[in-house]
Amino acid sequence: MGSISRVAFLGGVDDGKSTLLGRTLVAAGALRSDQLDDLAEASRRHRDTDVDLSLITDGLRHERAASITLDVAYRHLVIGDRRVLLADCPGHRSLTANAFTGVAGAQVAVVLVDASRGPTEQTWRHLALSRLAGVSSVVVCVNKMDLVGFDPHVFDALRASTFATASTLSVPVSVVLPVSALTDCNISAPASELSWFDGPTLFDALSSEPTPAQIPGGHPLRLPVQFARGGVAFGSVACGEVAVGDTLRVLPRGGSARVMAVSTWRDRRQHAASGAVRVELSGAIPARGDVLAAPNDPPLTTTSLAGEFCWFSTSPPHPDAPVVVQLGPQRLPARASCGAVLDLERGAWHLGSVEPSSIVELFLDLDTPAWVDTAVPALRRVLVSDPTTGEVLAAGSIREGRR
Amino acid sequence: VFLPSRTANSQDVPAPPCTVAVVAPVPVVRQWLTPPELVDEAIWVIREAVALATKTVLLFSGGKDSAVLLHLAHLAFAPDPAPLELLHVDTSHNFDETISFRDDAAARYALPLTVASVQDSIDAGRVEDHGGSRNALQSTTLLDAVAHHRYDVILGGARRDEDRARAKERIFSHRGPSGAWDPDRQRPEPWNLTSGDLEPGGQLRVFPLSNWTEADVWRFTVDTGLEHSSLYFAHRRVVVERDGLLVPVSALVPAAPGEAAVERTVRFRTVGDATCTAAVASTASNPLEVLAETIAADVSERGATRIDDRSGDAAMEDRKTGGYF
Repeated sequence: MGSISRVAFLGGVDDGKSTLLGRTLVAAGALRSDQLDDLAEASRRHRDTDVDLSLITDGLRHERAASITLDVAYRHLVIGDRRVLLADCPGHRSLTANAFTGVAGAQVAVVLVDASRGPTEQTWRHLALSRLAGVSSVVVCVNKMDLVGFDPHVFDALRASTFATASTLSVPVSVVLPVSALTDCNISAPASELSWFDGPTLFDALSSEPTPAQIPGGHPLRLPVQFARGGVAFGSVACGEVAVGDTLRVLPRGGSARVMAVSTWRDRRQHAASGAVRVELSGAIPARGDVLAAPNDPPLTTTSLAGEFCWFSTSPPHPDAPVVVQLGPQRLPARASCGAVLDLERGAWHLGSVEPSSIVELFLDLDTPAWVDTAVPALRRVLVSDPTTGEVLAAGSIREGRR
Repeated sequence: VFLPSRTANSQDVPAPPCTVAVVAPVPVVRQWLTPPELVDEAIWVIREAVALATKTVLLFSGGKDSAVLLHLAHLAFAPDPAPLELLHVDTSHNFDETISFRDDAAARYALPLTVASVQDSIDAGRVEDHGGSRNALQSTTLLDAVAHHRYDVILGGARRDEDRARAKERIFSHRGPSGAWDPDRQRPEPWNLTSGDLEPGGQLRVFPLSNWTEADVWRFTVDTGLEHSSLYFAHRRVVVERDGLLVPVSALVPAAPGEAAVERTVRFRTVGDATCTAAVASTASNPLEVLAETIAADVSERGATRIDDRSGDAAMEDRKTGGYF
């Protein structure tokens, strides 16, 4: 179990996300006195107001000038006895790649809905991105409840439509909350205006979310090789356990190697089940990109992958254009072709045009065989990039490899 | 823990005791332990950086963040030597303690150290010295050294909690040939995965401590018994009080007319250009006491100690877009 919860805040433009995040930081006591002074000064300078909470995380010149979050900002705080690392994600559709950067790696996503206008296409996109990114739960905050007079009927209708769409998109929404970021209603403490609401505050929801184990229990060893020198391999155990004396398969290279020594950053040991390790081997000599695997239950090796991706590039995928696929430490020349596109409103897949921020099905034909394990998050996550410019075209998750 | 042994001829920096009796009532809670995932993440990032590089360099100033980074780089490969070199961009505005610590550490870890001098850049006419802090001038010296030694991956100890512009930067920050950070064109970095392909002639700045806080640096120090420069622990020093900051008096920074130079018990929270680094009043004399003080501090690290970052709310962003690390 990790000791830091990683939480991403997502919301459409003007849903009040930066204000909610600023409110969260202030209520959690995460700002020190000089940072509060800076905030007051920036508020006077940029907004002609006493305190504009959104300026806390909008830290870049362009952001403060335009009142828009352009890229992810990361902030530390403590809620209850839980340490939290917040990612403040931009809301604009053209900045989806940056938002995905923030949510991919988070365990919990907080998605905002503006109570006065209801969910938008961006709301559904943020829910779908949260699932694709692999968060284990989503907290939906219906913000600006003050603008609808704290009306429980408005909230109930929004909660129902949120759960309905989340269900068609298979998004793990754990709770929908009414809040008002402007006045700290139901964020750090229950609010009298929302006395009809019997659910948790945002802080309750964030401090009670269990930090999940990312690694399936009982899964056989997968140790992707990040760096190798001679018979020494460096990497992080993705699942299973590596132990001195084991004989391991080296894939896709082939051959097997015996484990002579195991060490972590703390000490030499007989076995290791997680984290960064160094392994001395005798036998087949691995290189970066290989995986060390349990011999009786190795991962699939294949040249054909299919998965679900968020497409970032302004030009759609072209089946003849060479791409580079990164899967763990593997760097694989490939071609990418597009299957169906996700209709966010209806949760249905259909054939259609691919735009930046579309969620799409991609088929990847690799020039050489690669290993993949779709049961382990870290071993199915993929970047697709342009080999000449390095531009990241898409990121996503492999659903299926074919033999 | 694999700790490098001190070499016999290393300059003897008085090292703080690392195992100490706790004086204040200290509850045994999680906030005193280094989150193991931060260490694993940093080691993963360092190994990834080295694997992507043709030639890796670690920016080592002798400050606490770079000392932690250097130790993590050591742990990432130990007992093999870390496959990288060290570079210090030297402003010549130094505290003597930093320089002796720097040389001692390079010797202990047995890694080659290059010192690139801002003074040389000034003498060669590459940059103009307008007096005062040389932080912004470091960029040119850094870029010249990177080009000369053909480094393509540059590890730095920056943390996102230091500054609002740092909070926005990727762990793997792709920079063009000019080294400039373009905040409007950062590459996506989901799950900490980066596209390893550099722009032609481009370079990669890598920040393994991105998700660490100032307190995490001290937690790790307590955990591992890591040594830091004596500047970080309470000592007697002559200072003047200026704009609420305790400014150390030296040949570079004399007391202004009318200012009273007084000896106080102080330590430094950050150590940078000696003309713009302020001290804080403190009696914390070992890492555990410093950690306790850091957790309780009412003022941020930069607010307490950096004179130059008070010159505008985008001072760091402006330096980074000019190629700063």
